[in-house]
Amino acid sequence: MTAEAYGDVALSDLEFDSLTELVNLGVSRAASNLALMVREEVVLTVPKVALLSRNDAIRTLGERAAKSLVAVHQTFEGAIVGRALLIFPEEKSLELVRSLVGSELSNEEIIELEQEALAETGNVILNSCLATIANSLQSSLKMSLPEVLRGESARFFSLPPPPAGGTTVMFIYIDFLVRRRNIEGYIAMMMDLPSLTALQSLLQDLIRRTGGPVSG
Amino acid sequence: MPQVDLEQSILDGIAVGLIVLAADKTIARWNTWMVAASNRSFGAVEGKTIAEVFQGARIDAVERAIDFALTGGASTLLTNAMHPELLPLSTLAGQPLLHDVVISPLPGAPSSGCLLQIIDVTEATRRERFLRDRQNARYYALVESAPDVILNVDSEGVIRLANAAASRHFGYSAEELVGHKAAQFFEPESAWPDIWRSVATSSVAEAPVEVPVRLKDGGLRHFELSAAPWTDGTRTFTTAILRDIENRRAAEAVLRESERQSRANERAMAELNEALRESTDQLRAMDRRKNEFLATLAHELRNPLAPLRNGLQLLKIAKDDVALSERTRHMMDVQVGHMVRLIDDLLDVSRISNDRIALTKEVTSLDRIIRQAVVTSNPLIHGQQHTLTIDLPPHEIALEVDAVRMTQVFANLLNNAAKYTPAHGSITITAEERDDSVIVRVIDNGIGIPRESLRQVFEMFMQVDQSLERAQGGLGIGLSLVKRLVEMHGGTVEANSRGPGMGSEFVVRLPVPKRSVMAGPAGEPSAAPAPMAQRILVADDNKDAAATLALLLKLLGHETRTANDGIEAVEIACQFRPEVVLLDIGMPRLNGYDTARRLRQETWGRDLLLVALTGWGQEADRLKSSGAGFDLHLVKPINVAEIQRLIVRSRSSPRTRHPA
Repeated sequence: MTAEAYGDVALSDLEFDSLTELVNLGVSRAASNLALMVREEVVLTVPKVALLSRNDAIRTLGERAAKSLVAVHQTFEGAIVGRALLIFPEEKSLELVRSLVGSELSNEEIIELEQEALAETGNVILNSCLATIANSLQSSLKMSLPEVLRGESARFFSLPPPPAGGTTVMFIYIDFLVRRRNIEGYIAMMMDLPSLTALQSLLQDLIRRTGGPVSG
Repeated sequence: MPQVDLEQSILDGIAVGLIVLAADKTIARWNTWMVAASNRSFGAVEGKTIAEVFQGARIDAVERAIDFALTGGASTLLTNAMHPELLPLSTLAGQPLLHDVVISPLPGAPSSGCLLQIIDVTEATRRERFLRDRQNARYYALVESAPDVILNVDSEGVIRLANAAASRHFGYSAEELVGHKAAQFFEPESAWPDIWRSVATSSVAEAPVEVPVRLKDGGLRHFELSAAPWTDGTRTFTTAILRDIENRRAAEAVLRESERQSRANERAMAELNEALRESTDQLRAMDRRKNEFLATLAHELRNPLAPLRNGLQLLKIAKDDVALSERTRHMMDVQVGHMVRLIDDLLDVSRISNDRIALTKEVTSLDRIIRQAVVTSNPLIHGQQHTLTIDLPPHEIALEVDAVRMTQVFANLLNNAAKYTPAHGSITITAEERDDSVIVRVIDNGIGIPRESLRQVFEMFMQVDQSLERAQGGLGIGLSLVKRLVEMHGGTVEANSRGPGMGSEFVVRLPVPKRSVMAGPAGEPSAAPAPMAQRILVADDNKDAAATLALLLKLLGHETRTANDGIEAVEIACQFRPEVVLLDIGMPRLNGYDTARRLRQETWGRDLLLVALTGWGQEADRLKSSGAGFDLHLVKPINVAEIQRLIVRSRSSPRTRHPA
């Protein structure tokens, strides 16, 4: 197994496995919080986690998803600093909202709810993930309120600072299964190099503490 | 001046609800906005938890967010959209206060507490509702009142909107349309995907297309569909406007049908005109044939009169010459018989035309009828010196026919063969039985019939060739009579010929009765034969006429010779060197005009007295004979005394010399 590497920071297999487990833990926490919110069973799974350069992330999104995207954006600061984005193809956003709020509402009403519902949903998922990761790393992160963005992928990865635009993207593929609807999305966490180094050091601490990858 | 709590003043001045929770989640601050909205004073809520203050409210989301803030440092947004009436708050006017709640951690790790901001979104929400209602009103005005069907279809092909006209035109309720695939309403179902594809790829409204729609009542109605794509920022829709064009189509169909009808009428009119023209042509031809017939009739009736008149004069002169008297009387008898036959034929044709002929059928034998017919035709056949072959089956063939009429049929056919076959020809009559009919053929090796005339020979007044040398007399009604009589017997007759000069064949088919008893024996056949100081040549194809005229002239003291056609006349004249030539015009082989021209070409022929003897007495005929070199033109019957007078007069006065 080769190490996941970018720039000067290279995560070892062990570190990367630990990070993947933390992400899975965070996403499953997000699912249970989302389930509480919508009072429906929500299943979120993580088929893949990757560390990508900014350009690779833009390209991957461009290839895998529709051109028009919608994203819920939050910043985080603490031991690591950066931005988190929950991204969907724009054409799926109404479907996601409908799956969360139920189908008894009319299309018009759902359109009316769309913006707020996306913001709240993204807020729950990103908060859950980030808080879980921060807790596991015995660190603390302060997370901003959600903001809904629309456009092409390149726009999401070139937002003006602060926080300073990172060059590395932790790219998390995520599958939603709500009310028999299956929607593919992505979580992207952008960090600058110092944050990535800090993350690596926190991961090493975690591995030392637990004697191996954390377990759910 | 009393100490002013600036921090509290700011909190109270902010137009947002503010609650500060301590790390133990109890209320530490509660601004006046909250006092007004919750109708609870700070004193009443201080030290209590949110759950204790708002008992009964569903605030689990708020509590989770508080935990998140305190333990995870996360800020949470709870929206009115997703959590309507989260906290039981009201406006100053007493209406429910719609609000979002933002829960964020206060500094510290773990957090020293958290801040709840309650944001009034009542006005914003109401404004949205108001805008939506206004929009809806406009939409209803535009869409719902539209006379045309309007459908919004999403990219999955599902109808998302159907206006009132859709229900009115299609017969389906809005529920039966909205949420269902658009394709199922079109005929065929592939019509919609085709439209959608063309719209999706062009982005410009396509020209309207005609589509049939399957109505709820099962009927099919045509609409003109125009479609245009649009997007709500998220998804692509297609708005289709369908206009009912059934009436227009019906009108177009009526127009097309009327055009078709009018074309058909024009065609029918053209056909009618053509038929009319043909009918006119036929009438003209008929009229022409009738005129020719009348001329022929006059000619034919006059022809026997000449020998008869001659006969009368002979009888007067002969007096005691018994043999001559007998011969003359016989000749006159034959000529009278010929006239009677002509007149009988005429009467028959008239009777048949008026359906006044009645058949007297009897069972008889074909052999008997044919023998009787041969007897009747014998004078003509023998006169032309034809060879007649009769080939009948050895056994008797029974027929149930009118014996007189059927004899007339075969006699006419034999006469016809004899007339249209040059002298010394061959005529054959055969018979054979085949299935339920007997087939009788009359075959000659005569002048034949052109292919194009085969069908016409049976028409009334028809003679195939009107040229003089072949005009063998007759009225052109013999074959017409044959046809009518055969048909009256349930039989058919057809004419065959391999063409001019190739002879003719007439085939009569007659039905044979199942079993028949023969009637008595047929009658016996009797054969009939035909005989001054100027040298006179008499040429006439009517041998009797020629012979009698020659005889009369001989009795008047002239030296005479006779010829029966033009060639013979020229040959005899070359040896006999006549001074007077009496020429019949309608002669076989060489007609009278050409004979006259040839005679005039001879050196001895220039001073001849050339007299035309003809049944044709019209001015045109006289001009024609004069042109051919005739000195005189006499119309039959000829009075021999007049000839004598003319000869005397011409010889006593200077005459025109005819050039070679």
